[in-house]
This record gives sequence, C-alpha cells and structure tokens, in this order.
Amino acid sequence: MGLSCFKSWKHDSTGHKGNRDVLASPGSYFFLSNSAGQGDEWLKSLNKGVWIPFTGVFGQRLEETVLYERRYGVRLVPLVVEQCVNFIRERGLHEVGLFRQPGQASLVKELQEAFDAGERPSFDSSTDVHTVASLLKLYLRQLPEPLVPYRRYQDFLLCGQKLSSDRTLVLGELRNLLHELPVANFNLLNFICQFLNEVQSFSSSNKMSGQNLATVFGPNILRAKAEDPQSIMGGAVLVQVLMLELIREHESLFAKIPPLISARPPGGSHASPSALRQPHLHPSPCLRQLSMPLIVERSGEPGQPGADEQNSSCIYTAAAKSDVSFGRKRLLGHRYTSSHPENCFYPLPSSSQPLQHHSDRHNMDYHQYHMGQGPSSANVQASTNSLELQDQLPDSSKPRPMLMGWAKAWPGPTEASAGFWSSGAAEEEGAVPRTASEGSSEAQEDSNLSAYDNLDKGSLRQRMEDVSGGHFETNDSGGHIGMCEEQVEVEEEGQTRDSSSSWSSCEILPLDESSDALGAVSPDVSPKRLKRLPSSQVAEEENSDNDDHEDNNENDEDVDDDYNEDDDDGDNVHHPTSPASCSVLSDSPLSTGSSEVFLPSGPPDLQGPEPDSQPRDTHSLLAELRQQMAQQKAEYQARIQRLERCNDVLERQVAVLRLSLEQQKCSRSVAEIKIRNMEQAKADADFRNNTLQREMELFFQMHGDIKRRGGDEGGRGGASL
Amino acid sequence: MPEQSNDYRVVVFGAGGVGKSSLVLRFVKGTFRDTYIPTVEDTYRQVISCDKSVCTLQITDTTGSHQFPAMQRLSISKGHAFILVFSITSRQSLEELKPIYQQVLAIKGTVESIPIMLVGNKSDETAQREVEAKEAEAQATAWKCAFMETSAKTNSNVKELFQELLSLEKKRDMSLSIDGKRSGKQKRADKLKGKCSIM
Repeated sequence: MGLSCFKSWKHDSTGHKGNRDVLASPGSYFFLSNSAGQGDEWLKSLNKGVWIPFTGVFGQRLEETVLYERRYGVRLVPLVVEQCVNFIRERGLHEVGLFRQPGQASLVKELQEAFDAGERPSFDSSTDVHTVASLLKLYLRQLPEPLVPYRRYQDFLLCGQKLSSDRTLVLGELRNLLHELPVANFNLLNFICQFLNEVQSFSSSNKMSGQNLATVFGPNILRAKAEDPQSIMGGAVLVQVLMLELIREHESLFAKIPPLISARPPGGSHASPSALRQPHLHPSPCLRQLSMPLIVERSGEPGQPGADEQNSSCIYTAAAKSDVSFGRKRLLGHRYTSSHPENCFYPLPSSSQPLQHHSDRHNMDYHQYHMGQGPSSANVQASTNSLELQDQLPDSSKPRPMLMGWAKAWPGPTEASAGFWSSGAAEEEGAVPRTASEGSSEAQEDSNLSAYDNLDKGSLRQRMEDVSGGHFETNDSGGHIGMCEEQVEVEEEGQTRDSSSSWSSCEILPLDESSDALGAVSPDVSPKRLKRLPSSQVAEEENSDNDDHEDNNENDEDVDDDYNEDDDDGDNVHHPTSPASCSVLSDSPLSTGSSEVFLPSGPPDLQGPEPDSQPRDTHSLLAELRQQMAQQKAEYQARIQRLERCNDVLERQVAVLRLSLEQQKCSRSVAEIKIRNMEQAKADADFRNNTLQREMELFFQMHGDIKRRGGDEGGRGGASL
Repeated sequence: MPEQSNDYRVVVFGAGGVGKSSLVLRFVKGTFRDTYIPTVEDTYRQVISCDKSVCTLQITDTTGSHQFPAMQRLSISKGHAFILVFSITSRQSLEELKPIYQQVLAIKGTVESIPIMLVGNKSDETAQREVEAKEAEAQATAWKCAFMETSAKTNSNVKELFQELLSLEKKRDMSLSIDGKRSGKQKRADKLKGKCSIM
C-alpha cells in the first residue's frame, strides 16, 4: 500500500495542512503516502476518527470547542466564555456601559488570536473590562451558527411576536423551545443569560438595565441566516423583546423542572387523553433530568470532576430510574452525537399523537410517553401483542392509581369491583390449572393473547359467578364483599403482575372495537370513561341515599325520643352504630365491610341491656326493634340498590368482555381456517412431492434402462467390429 | 428600493455610548435626555432647502454596540454624507471609528467628494477628556475630513455640525433653513414597523 508508518522526530509539513500543533509535538506519527491526494485523504479520515484537531476557538462550532475542551475538565461552556465572565464578574459589574461601550479593538484582536492559538491568556488588572466584554461578544458573534441556530430563529421570533398576547403561555412555549436547543447551546445560553441577569441587577451603577443588555446582546445570540438588512431590522425589535425575557425570566425559562402552572397549557384545549393522565405527569420532571444527563450534571454541579465520573454518574442516574430501563445505551451514545436528547428519544408511539398538538406540547407529551405509563402508550404497545418487560414494568404501577381513582369516585361499590378485579386476577391463576388447555401463566405474562384466553373462558365464568352470587344472596354478599376487600388488601402487593395483565387486556378491548362500538371516544379513554362516568353518578346517588337514610334514622330516633325520654341508654347504644356506619360508609370504602359485619351483631348488643330494662317499657323496646328493623331494611335496600347498580356496571363490563370474546372467537376461526388452508397446502405440496419423486424414480429407471441398452448395443457393436 | 433623489441621507456612526442618538435628537427635536439606552437603529427625517427647493434630510442613527457588517455596508452604500462620532472622554471610541472609516473608503472608493464629519462629542466633560482636540484634528486631516467638537448636552455646535456637513456637499446647494418653514417630522421606528410587517 505504500504506507510506511514510523516515529518521526522531524517536522515535515508536506501534505499536512493546518495541523501544526499535531506535527510540532515530538513523537508524532509520520505517515508517508505515495501521492499528495492520498495523504490528504488519510489526513481527513485521521482528523475525523482519531482526534479532534484544534483549529482555534473563535469561529469554531460551539460543540467542537466544548468537546475539545473536555480534556481540561468538564465544563458547561467554552473556556473563553468562562474566563471572560469570571473576569467581568470580578471587576466590571459596576462599569458604566458594560457590553455597550467598545473595548480596545487591538487588544481584543490580540486576545482573540491568543485564544485561537490554543493559549490561555490571563486577564490582569490592566485589562479593560470593556475589552473583555467585547471579546465575549465577539466570540458569540463569530460562532458559525448563533446560539439560537438559524433553523430555530423563526420559531423564536414567532414566540416573541406572541409574547404581548399571552405572556405566561408564550413563556412556556419559549421554555420548550429553549430546551429543544442543542445541549451545548442550551448550556451556554443559560450561562450567559444567568450572567446578564446578574449584570442587570447592578444597573443602578452600570446603567445597563435588562432592556439595554437585551438591545446590545440580542443580535449576538439571535440572528437571521440571511444577512440582508430587511431581515435584520425586521427581527431587531422582536430579538430585543425575546432577549429581555431570556434575561429577566432566566430562572424559570432555563429551569430543569418546568413550572407546572405556567408551562402547562390550558388542559381543555387538548385532547382528553393527556388531561386524563394528569396523575402521571408528576414523575415527568425527574425524567426530564434523566433524558438530559449532560445538562443536569453539568449545570447542577459545575465543579464535578472528570469525564469518567460523569459517565458513571450518568449510568447511575439511568440505573436509579431503571423502571424506565430504556435506551441507556442511546443515552450514552447521545453525548457524542450533538443532537438533542429529545430528538433521538421520541418513542415511536408518541410521534403520531403530539403531532396533532402544537409543537410546544412536545415536551409534555414526551414525558408522558417516555414514562410509558400513559394508558394509550400501553395500548399501542400492547396491540403489538408482545408486551416487553420494560412495558410491563410501568404497567404494573398503573392499576394502583386507577384503583385509587375509583375509590375516590365511587365509594360504595368500589370494594365489590375492586374485589372483582382482584378476585378475577387471583382466580385467573386458579382458572389456569382448571382449564388446562389455556396455557401456562408464563404465557400470560408474555403475551396478551393468552391473557385473553384466560379471561374469556376461565375467569370470566368465575367472575360471572361472583357477580351473580353477590347479587342474589344479599346476606352473603356482605361477607363476600368483605372477603374481596381483604383480597384487595392482601393482593394489593401481589396484584401488580397479575392484575396488570388483566388490566391491560381490559384496556385493549376498546382498542380492538374502537372502530365499531366506541368510535367517538378515543381508544384509551373509553374504558375509563365507561367506568368512571357511571361510577361518579353512582357515588352521588349513593351519597344522597345515605343522607336520606340518615335523615330517616334521625327522624325515627326523634320519634323514639318523644316516646321514651328516659331511655338515654338505649339511644346511646344505637346512635353510634347507625350514623357512624352510614357516614363511614360514605367516607371510606374500607369500612363498608366492617359496618356490614357488625350490623348483624348489633341486635345482640342491644339485647344485652334488654333484661335490665325489661320491666321498664316493652313498648319502647318494641319501637326500638321496629325501628331497627326499618333501619336494617333500609340498609339492605340501599345495599340492594347499590349492588344492582354495581351489577349494571359489571354487566356492562361483561358485555364489553363478551364483545371481545366474540372478536377473539372470530379471529380464532379465521386463524383456524388459515391453519386448515395451510394444512391443505402442505398436503398438496406433499402430494406433489411424492409424485415428483415417483416421476424421478421412473425417470432414473428409464435412464438406466436406456443406458444399459446402449451399453449392450455398444458392446455388441464392438464385438461385431 | 428606488433611489429617491429628493432624499439626502446622512449616516451617523460611532462606538456605543458616544452620544450619537443624543446628537441627532438634539438636532431633530432640540431635546436632550439623560437616559442611557442603546440604539438598534433609528431614522429621522427633516425637511431642508436644497437647490432652491426642498428635500428631505434623512438621518440614520446607527447602533454602536454591535456591528452587523451587512447593515453597515448597506448604510454606507446608501449614505450621501457621514458623521463619525467619538467621545472625547474615550480614546477607544476614536479607535473604533478607524475600521468604519476604512469601510467607507472601501465602499465609496474615494472620500474626496463625500462629506464626512469627525465629531468629538461630550465636549462639556472636560474633566474626563482623553482625546485632545489637536489629536482629533490630526486624525481628521489624515482622513481628509472636517472635525468639530460638540456637546449634545449643552447644545453646543450641534446645529453647526449639520450645517457644516451640508456645506461640504458640493453637488447640491443645501441649507438647513427653509424660510422659517422648518418642520421636524420624526418618523422614528416607522421604518422598523414597516419591515416587521414584511416578515
């Protein structure tokens, strides 16, 4: 190849351009190429792959500078910026016209050249603050692309245009725009705006208010690609406005955790899925941190040492939140690609939905989707029929918040339904061995189809039995519900996996039938809607029922009081029981069972004092008993009503399940037909194969015969010759 | 943009904070503000007499704090006359004018027929003086232009500055006075707004 590679102590610059610092160092490698062109090619690939050539600071791409300066320690911003800012902070904050007045042009140039040559010139007391300020501005101005990249310029201007209309909303937008900037740009802009904010706080002495700084600094940071006067002057005012906001609202705009109130757009304007997913919003800030390791670490602890530690800490943060165990590799890879994390992190399922929203919503949606907790993402992923583990993990945390939501919205029947779900989940396991053909529980974990099967045949029947039992045997139902409750409590821990599968399968149902039955409602909302709407109604009705009930009780008791004024003891006995049970019933779902448990035992309690007061008044006792009976009757009626309502809801669910069952059957029959067709095809192929083989055998036989005959003839011929 | 022969365009250059806006405002409006506000770019118009007729004197107050080379080039190529302002309290501000002068020279080719005024502003602040009048005069001679010290604050030499500038224009006979019909029309930021709507 003609490549000779040896250590050279001599400086040879033939064919090597612009790499003086590499070649100047002794012990550099010397590559000898056949032709100049070849050498250039080598050099190009070497530059690309092996090291980053130092070609100056001014006019270099920011990312390259930051990357290059990694060797001097982890920094947020280029050395030159850091040095300038530190110097100004030390000496120049009170200087009148800071960043407005010019520095010494010649000295600025000198300093620039020094930095470009890789030196680190120190500013001393003789250095003019304005010179350093000019140097800083020069650096920003000379970036090949301004801090706000050209492609983002228009978005920022639009933001500035809207600022006058709805400030908080637009600030949220602006914030999102900022966080979409490349990491290096974001860091530097953050750094500078923070510093300018500081400078502004001394405006009484330096006369540089935020407005002035914005005027002076804005064009260095925000500028159009087209350098024509029209676009420059056209944007000038908006640039100033924007820059002022960047300086003034620095803290909220660059904060890692979005100020929820200002950043969140009005919920009503958006599609319901995101609004319904509010509870899932809370973990998003930390996720933001996760997704932007560079910014977090570096802006968080500027003094953090070593790049290696940075790496490891990045892994640590990723591992700490391993429930989103997702693309850690990409995380690490990202730091070498200049693109913003979000660009490479948009999970595919989300891409379709945020597109419908305004672009400023990307962040929020991104959080939600990234968490993987959003029902819709679960749906989308589930519909692929292969729930991966990472999806399952977030899933497992899902049922709990939703159950909580139920409990709040639906005090009475919650236990029943929760019991329903948990018992269903519990009995799913039991159903598996009973209907042995359904497949193992492992399969259940792996694919939703098997979960379906279990649901459809085994546990569905189970549930139906549960429901019917609960409905008809009112006396037992209390105990049954109580049991279910206990199951809830016990299985709340163990619920995660099992019920998650049942939940996700339930949520998939509407997705499957979204085309026909629930077309109007978006797929992931529908299940919740279905359940929640009636439930809240039920809750209200129930509350009113309870109130009525209580009123009745009180009326009865008032009557009692009228009848027997001496009977304070008796009143004391049952006053606590009935209203307490009622109120507790409406407040906390858990106590329903208990109230039902000790209500039957109420009469014995009352019987206790009875012998003592027997001679007193049998009438009052009778009235008491009657009243108790009425009370019990009312309670049972209420319970019956409740259970009926519960039954309605469950029936609806059953209907949904049936629908899905039907669909499953349909698909199964389709699959069966397909299998049959395949089998048929296979049989055909076998048949053809056999025929071919027979033909071939026949052919070889004939061939052999012919050959033998030919040989015989030849032999005969030879013999005749 | 079609060339409006009626307009006479004067461009004011200078480093940040030397008092360009103050000079222009003093001349156009007769006021002085003690505020400290950097300019992006403002244009003022004023009717003056020109060749026994009237024309518009268009004064462009440029920004001193940051240079857009493109903007600067445009201003220079469209300008008929230039006022280069420095502050006598800052030698640096005089230094800053050198590249601008070079730019004017490069774009216009020659400065022979172009009215240029070198202006040392803030002449009232004698205590902080850094640039002696002699130095500036020497610089003006080197640049083949006129020199004048002004103070926008005390309104010293401001009107004279513009009068002198117009008198340097040999192609037209211009004068600030138009028989008492002097009407200062400020169209500040109109230009800016017009361009905003283009976007």
